[in-house]
Formats: sequence, structure tokens, C-alpha cells
Amino acid sequence: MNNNKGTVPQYPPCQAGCPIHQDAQEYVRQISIGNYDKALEIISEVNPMPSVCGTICAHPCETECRRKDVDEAVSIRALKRFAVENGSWPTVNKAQATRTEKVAVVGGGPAGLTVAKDLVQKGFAVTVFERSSEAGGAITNFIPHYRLPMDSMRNDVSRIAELGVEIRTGVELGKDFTIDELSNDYQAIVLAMGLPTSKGIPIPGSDAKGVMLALPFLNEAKYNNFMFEPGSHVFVVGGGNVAMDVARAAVRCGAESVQLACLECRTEMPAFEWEIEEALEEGVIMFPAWGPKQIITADDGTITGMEVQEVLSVFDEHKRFNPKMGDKKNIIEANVVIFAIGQGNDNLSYLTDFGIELTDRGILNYNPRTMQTTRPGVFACGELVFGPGSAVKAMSTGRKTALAVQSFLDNVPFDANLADQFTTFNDLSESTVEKVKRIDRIHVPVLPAQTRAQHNDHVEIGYDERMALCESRRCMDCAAGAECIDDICAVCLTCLRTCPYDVPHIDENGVFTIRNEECQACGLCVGICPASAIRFRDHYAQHALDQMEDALKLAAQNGPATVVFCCSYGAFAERDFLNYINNGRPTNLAIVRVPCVAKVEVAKILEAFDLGAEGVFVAGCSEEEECTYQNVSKWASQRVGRAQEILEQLGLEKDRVEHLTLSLDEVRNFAPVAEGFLTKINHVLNGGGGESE
Amino acid sequence: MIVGERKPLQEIIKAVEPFEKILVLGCGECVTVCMAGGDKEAKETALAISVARKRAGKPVEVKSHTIERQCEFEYLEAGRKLIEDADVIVSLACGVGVQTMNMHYEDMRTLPGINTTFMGMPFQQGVWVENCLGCGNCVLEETMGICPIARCSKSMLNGPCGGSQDGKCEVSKETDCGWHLIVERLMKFDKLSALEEVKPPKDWSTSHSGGPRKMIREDVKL
Repeated sequence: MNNNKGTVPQYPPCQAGCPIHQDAQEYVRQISIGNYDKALEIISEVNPMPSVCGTICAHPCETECRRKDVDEAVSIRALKRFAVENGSWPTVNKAQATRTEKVAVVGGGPAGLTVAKDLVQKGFAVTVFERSSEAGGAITNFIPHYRLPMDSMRNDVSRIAELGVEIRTGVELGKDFTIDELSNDYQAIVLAMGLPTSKGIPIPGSDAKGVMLALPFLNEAKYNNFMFEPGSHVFVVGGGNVAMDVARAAVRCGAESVQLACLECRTEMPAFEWEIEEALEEGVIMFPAWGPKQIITADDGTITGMEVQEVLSVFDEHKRFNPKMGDKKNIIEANVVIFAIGQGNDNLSYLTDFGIELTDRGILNYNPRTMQTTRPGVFACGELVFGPGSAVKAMSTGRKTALAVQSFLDNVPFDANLADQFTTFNDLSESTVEKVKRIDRIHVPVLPAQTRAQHNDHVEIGYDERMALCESRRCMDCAAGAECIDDICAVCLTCLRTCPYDVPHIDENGVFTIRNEECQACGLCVGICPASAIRFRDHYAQHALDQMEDALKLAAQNGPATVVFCCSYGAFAERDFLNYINNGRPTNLAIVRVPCVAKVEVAKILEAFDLGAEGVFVAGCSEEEECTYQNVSKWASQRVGRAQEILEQLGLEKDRVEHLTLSLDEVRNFAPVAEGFLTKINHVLNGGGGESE
Repeated sequence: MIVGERKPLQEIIKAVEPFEKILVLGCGECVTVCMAGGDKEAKETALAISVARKRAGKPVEVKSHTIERQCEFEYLEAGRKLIEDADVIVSLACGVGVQTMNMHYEDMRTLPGINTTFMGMPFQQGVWVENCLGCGNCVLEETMGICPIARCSKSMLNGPCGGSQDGKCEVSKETDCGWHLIVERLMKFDKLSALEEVKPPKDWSTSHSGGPRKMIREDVKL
């Protein structure tokens, strides 16, 4: 959803939190109605690496998800993976070359590939120069197989290549070509080499045999079937995500034991909680708040252990990194030490010969507003200039850099600070939080710890269809729902009394408002507002209801037509049901899936009869506990009751309209239910219906 | 506010039988609030007429529209094109609105689509109760804010009749005895002795019994 107010878009919190502003709300909604193809299309439109993000994204969208105030955030990342694995990929159409300029991108990681994809879609010719044998950057080189299968990354890269991006692998800047040579052929150059070098710590013993660095170890483990010698006891230094990767990879590389220490205490460890948990499950022993003091070696230079020292605090009162050590010390036995305490860039001094200046610390002298280095036309992005971060963060810097490059080649000014402006919604009010139904997050199934640590298979199993459909319904559709049309609102307060979530509100000054940002999009107010003064900010509900006319006309070609309004969610979104209604239903049955049957108004039922329907069924499901909405059956039933009264006043049989709550099994085996509808209507048409005047 | 309820549809359908172009006209004020004649009801009624006429083999053009307040000439102007385009108007406004329509559009028949029932309030969602008869001489101060004229079936002034039983009115067990409520409230404020004063017969000339009423404020006249 992009609710443009003036020139600054307003995003739901998930979309605002995503560095590339992926429209999570919309694709999650498409998943919830079983439209996995559309979900993947939405994802692919914005995201250059959907498979990768569906699998390993740091998901800042979930951090911002307002559901976390109610229970837990929606599992957006896992839903993306579900869409990736269950939707049909949209066809890649090779981008039209509309520009004469060529752009070189050095580094084929997430940042570089994003720049390349965006620029090729803007009509430029783009070549990516990647020094590894395969593009993908850190994702390809270091992320273990058990976290990200190669196929995921390869699929994303190949789709970028199919767009027309030329990817040259095995070529390295500074060795195989220079900046000047690139400048001869390319009108703009983007440096996106990442941070491919692991750091160590210069403590006593750090040059001992058996000391390794995280990234080379991960690369060896990933590509060269690296295995530890029998009897290896591995000690990992670091508490971040790379340290977890290292520890878990070490378990899989045959270590007898894997122990890990980090400065941070358990709650301050920078790694994802789930990854810490999974590492613990796989047998990694952790010593949080213990810092490395020295590596102890035997006379022959081999490692025998690590002396660690107690850490009292890592950050000072100004939240600066300033560890305070205690007096306690301890020696942990180990014969292999792997440092996983941070990354840096390669030696970039070769660039200074070409007008690209470095700072005293050996990093690029970079203007974050123009996104250029000190050599005009040479840009930089990703971790190389923005520091360690997630893949999606790197992509976002790539996206912005593409805009900067385009502006440069168009000879128009560019300011990165102005390139990504947006607003989002406030937190939910306490009164709404209290009233939203609690629905447990469905945790993503993983392989059992006992067996998964013995191989490199993908640990995360992922959602099945039922799980994805249920989890996607936990989305609160932030602000997609009710807004008041003030000009025609009679301020009757019917909505205020009907809303289960305290969205319509009278403030302390007696002013009535519908607080759209609090809305959960159940639509009860829309259905009951006597002035028709409430509409949805997003139009999906109306679009769904609008399908009735065409569906009915089509059905009427095949006999007396009956309309079934049914829910779009849960079992009504499963493949089997959709397959039945698309291909197997009786042809005179018009099935209209609506985002909650409580949104079907009496007038809509009458409209069906006005358009020639002989009967109307409103079919919800009996699994109310699973449903995000409240009182659905009650309202659907009351509306149908009202429609029945009206029909009777018109001299028509009330049995022509019925509300049903179907069990999951009935929805999944819909053929007899549908036949039942037609039998009932035939019975009425043959004079056997209910009362008639 | 004024409360009403839609007339039985058969009655409306019969009334519009001779006409071919029908406009159902909702009102955006009281009858919207009491869910009898707002935009939603207007749409429903129009569709119901259309369905009935199609089923009767005499399809008809039915439109619906809602006027902000049908009891104001100026608002009625806003709907002129739609109104003049129709053969007949079914007004879902209260009786005041229907008459204003007939006054303003003299050449057009405007038929009532609702029965105007009373002045009252939504006691709970979907339930409206009568509170005022518009007698023209308010006695609520004497009866602790509960109207004996509107809420006593006999509009008695000196206490409950013998038909008050268990707090309910003899007219209907669904109806609270207005005087029972007044007495309870008098007791709450320790003012039961006020009932000892005998009220003289009410002067009903200020009510509708004195003929159609008119109110004039000279200071605001144009």
C-alpha cells in the first residue's frame, strides 16, 4: 500500500521498516487469499533477490510490525519464502536498452546486483565484475548451505542476468583491470566490493597454528568439504550472526565440541535470538560476557586452550563500545580458535592512483549525499561504504545509488537525503491493542536438532499451505480499512458501537473521528453505517464484491443462477477449494469470494436478485477461533435474516437466501455443499420453498 | 431525534405501481441515525422495488439518492435534476421531510416511504425508545427528568395508576411504568414528598391539541 499524501508516500510500518520498502502488507494479503502468484509478482517487482530474502532476510519489517504490540510480529519473512516456493515466477522480459551510456558495477553481491538490476531496467547497459567464480557476494561465499540452499541464490542471480545485466565472474579490480580502463568503456562506475575480510584480535597466541578467521573458514566449509581433524575442540570468539554461522558450521565440520565466548551478555548478544537458540540446540556451548585474553599454546605451538576474562559491561553510559573487565578468569580447553568478531574491506590502496581517495583508516572517502567517491562518476554502495549490515540494507543502498547514477548521467543534481522520504503510522493505541484478538504466531518448522547438525541440508522446513494461510491472516492490515467520508457522515455513532476495536472514537473535546490507523479492516462498520459514509482506504474488499455481477452473468448463461458469497480466507484460500470453484463447480453457480462474509451487505444480496439470481448463499466457516475478525457469523447471519424479511415482503420465498457456517472439511470437500445449494434452490423453484405470500 | 421505520415494502410497491421512473430519496439526518431512511435504506428500498417489479414482469427504472436534510428547501434544490427526472418520489424522510418535498416540488408526487413514529433516542444499538411528545410545556424538572407525558401510557400527572405492576405498565409488560421510574428517582433524591402536591389539570393547548403550532423569532427573521 502506498497512500500518497502529497509527494511523500505513507507506508505501513512493515513497508516503512523494510530498507527497500517491500509492500509486505499487500503480498501477505495476497497469500492469505491463496493468490500466491500475485504475491510473488508483488515481491519480485520491488525485491531484486526474493529467494534470498525469503530465506535469510534480517526482516526489519517484522521488527516494525504493529502486531508485536498485541502478541508477536507476523512472520513476514517466512511468508515471503512460502510465496517464492509456491507462486509462479513472473516472466522476465529483457529490459529495453534506451540509453547509450554504459555502467560498470564492481562486486556482485546484493548491493551491486541491485544497482545493476535497477539501472538495466532504466535502459542502461550494465556489466557486473565479480571476482569470485559466482555472483552473490557474501551470500554466495559465506552463508552456509544449511541456512541458504544455493538454488535460491542462483535463481535470483539468473533472473537479474535474464533482464540483460552482463555478469562477468573471476575478474578482479586492481588485478585484472583498473579504474581508468573501466572509464574508457563505462560512463559511470559503482564500487560494491563489500567487506570480505575477517578481523582477528592481536592477543597473545593469535598467530598460533590452529587459529582461523570466520570468513575463510565459512568459505572452506561451504565449498571445499572442510572437515576438522578428529579430536578437534573448537572455540569461537564472537556473538554476532557470523559467529553463529561459524559455530554451527563447525558442528557440521566434525568438531568434537564447539564452544563460544563473546563480550556481550546473553541478552545483548547481537545475533538473532532464533539463531542463538538453534546453535544451542545443536550443541554449541556459549559463554556470554567472557572476553578472550590469550590463546594458550603448548611447546610445539599447538593450541591447548583459551584464557577468558569476565566482562562486567560492554557499553558505557553513552552507549559507546567500552568494555569493562572483571577480575575472574577462566581457561577453556580447545585446540582450534576461530575469530568471528567483525569484517573489514580489502586493502584498497590501489585505488588511490586513480583519484579515489581513502581515509586514514583505509576506507573510501565517500560523499553519502552524492553517493560518489572523490573521483567524479565513481560511486560506491553496500557494506563497503555503509559498514556491516543485512543483505536487504545493502540492496537499499544499491537502489539509491542507481538513482544517483541516473541523475549523474542525466546531469541533474542528486541528494540521497531527499531520495527516500516517507511517513508511516503511529503505534496502535492501548485501547485497540487490548481489543485485538490474540493469535499465536506460527513458528516456522525446522529439522530436528539431533539430525540436522549431521549434514548441510537446509534447516528450515518452511510453512506448508495451511500454516501460511493461517499466519498471513495475523496481518492487521494496518490502516487499509475504514475511513470516514465526513461530508456524508451523520455522526450516528453506529460504527462506534459496532466496532470491536475502539477505532471510531469521541475525544475529550467531544469530536468524533474514525481512527483509520487503528482499524483492523473487519468491515463491520462499513456494513452497518446507515449513511454509507465509511469506505475502505484500500479497495480490495470493494473489488471482491464487484466481481459478483460478471460471475452472475456468466452463471446465468447456464441455467437458473445461484450466487454463493464465501470467505476468501483459511480453507477458502486453499488450492483444492480454488481449483474446485475455478474448474469443477456447477456452471450455474456464481461463487464470489469476499474478504469476510460479514462484508456482504443486504443491498448486495438484493442486487444479486435484481440481476437475476434465483438464490443467494452466504458461506462462512465455523473456525471462528482462527479468524482474525470478531462476531463474523453473528453479523452475517443477521444480515441474511434481514434479507430474508425483505424477500418475504416481496412475496419471494425466504429459503432463497441462507447463511451457513461450514466446517473445514465441508469447505475442502465443497462439491456436495455446492450441489446442496442448487438442490435447495431447485426445490424452491419447484414450489417447495418456505413461506410465500 | 425523530424516529421512524420503513413502511411494509408491499405498501410502497403498491403505491408506486402506476409509475415507471421512481426515485427513492433518503434523508441524511434523523432517519439515517435511526436506520430507517438513510442512504443504505434508500438503496435497499430501491433494489427491493426493482426486484418486485421485475418479478411482476413490469421492470421499472428505480434510482436512489440521499439529501442531506429533506426538511430544508435549500437542500432539496441540490437534488433537483434527479427529482425532476423521476415520475414519483418515495421519500424515506420523516413526515416533515415528505411535506417539505411536496411543498417545494409542487408538480411532483412525493410519497412517504417510512412511518414516522416518535421522538426518542437509541436506548441500545437497534432499539429506539420514545421520550418526548412535544407537549409544549415541559414538566421534567418536577418529575426528576423522566417525562410522565411520554413515558406514562396515560400521560398522568399525579403518580402511577393502578395498572402499574412490578415496575411495568399494564398496556404492555415490555414497557416500563414511567411513574414507577419517577418514584424511584424521587426516592433516590429524597424528594418523594413532592408527590403530595396535587397537580392541576394540564393545559394541553400548548400541545398539538391546540392546533398546528408555529414558532417565530422576530430577531432572526430576514
